[in-house]
Amino acid sequence: MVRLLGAALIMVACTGIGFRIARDYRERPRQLRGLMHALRVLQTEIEYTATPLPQALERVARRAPAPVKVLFETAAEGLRDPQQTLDTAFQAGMAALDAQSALRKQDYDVLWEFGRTLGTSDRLHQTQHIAATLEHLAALEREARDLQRRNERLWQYLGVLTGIALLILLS
Amino acid sequence: MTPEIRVVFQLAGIGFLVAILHTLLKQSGKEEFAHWTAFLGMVVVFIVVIGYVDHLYREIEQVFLHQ
Repeated sequence: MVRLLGAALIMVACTGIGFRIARDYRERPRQLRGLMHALRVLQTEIEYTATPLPQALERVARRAPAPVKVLFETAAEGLRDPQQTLDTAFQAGMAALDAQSALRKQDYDVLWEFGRTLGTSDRLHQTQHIAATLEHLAALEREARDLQRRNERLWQYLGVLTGIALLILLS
Repeated sequence: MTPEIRVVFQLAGIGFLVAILHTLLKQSGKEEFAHWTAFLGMVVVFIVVIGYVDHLYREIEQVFLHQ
């Protein structure tokens, strides 16, 4: 009885770890696409309606998909505090996003580059920066999709098989 | 199940798993990991088998040398 319980626990744990890692591979392209969508919304806000940045960020936060939302929400919230600059607010947003997204360091590097240029120049350069960031993110998204194709299924199987191997070794 | 039969099945299971892992890792382009898992499986199996071979030799020793 206790042996069976232990076996079940090991299986659940190993399978869970495998699926958790696989989920990160699956989520990253989706979140990158969400980020690109959010940046396009920001681009139109800046280019056509010339919304002030705090409001623009809020609007983007309302329209962005789930995990990406947090970045713009936190940044917009930070801007309401007069002590914070856009830089620190954006960084706080990135930290908040990091806590619940599957994005990797290279994605944050691109975002950070973008965050530094945000609100530092006129409308034309601003849209150019966003376009460049979008291009970067598109390249990262292609790469992430390739990684997903190769690794998602692998990690699912790997988790289950490791569980079975442990069971056999311990039995 | 007697312990001896159990060990045979255990080793067969390890062999199966290592084979599956090997093909899986190879398919997704991680050749070096595939080779490492195969090697690791071999080591594990050897550790188990060496214990039994040791046991066998002691038994033989007892039968033929300490009469």
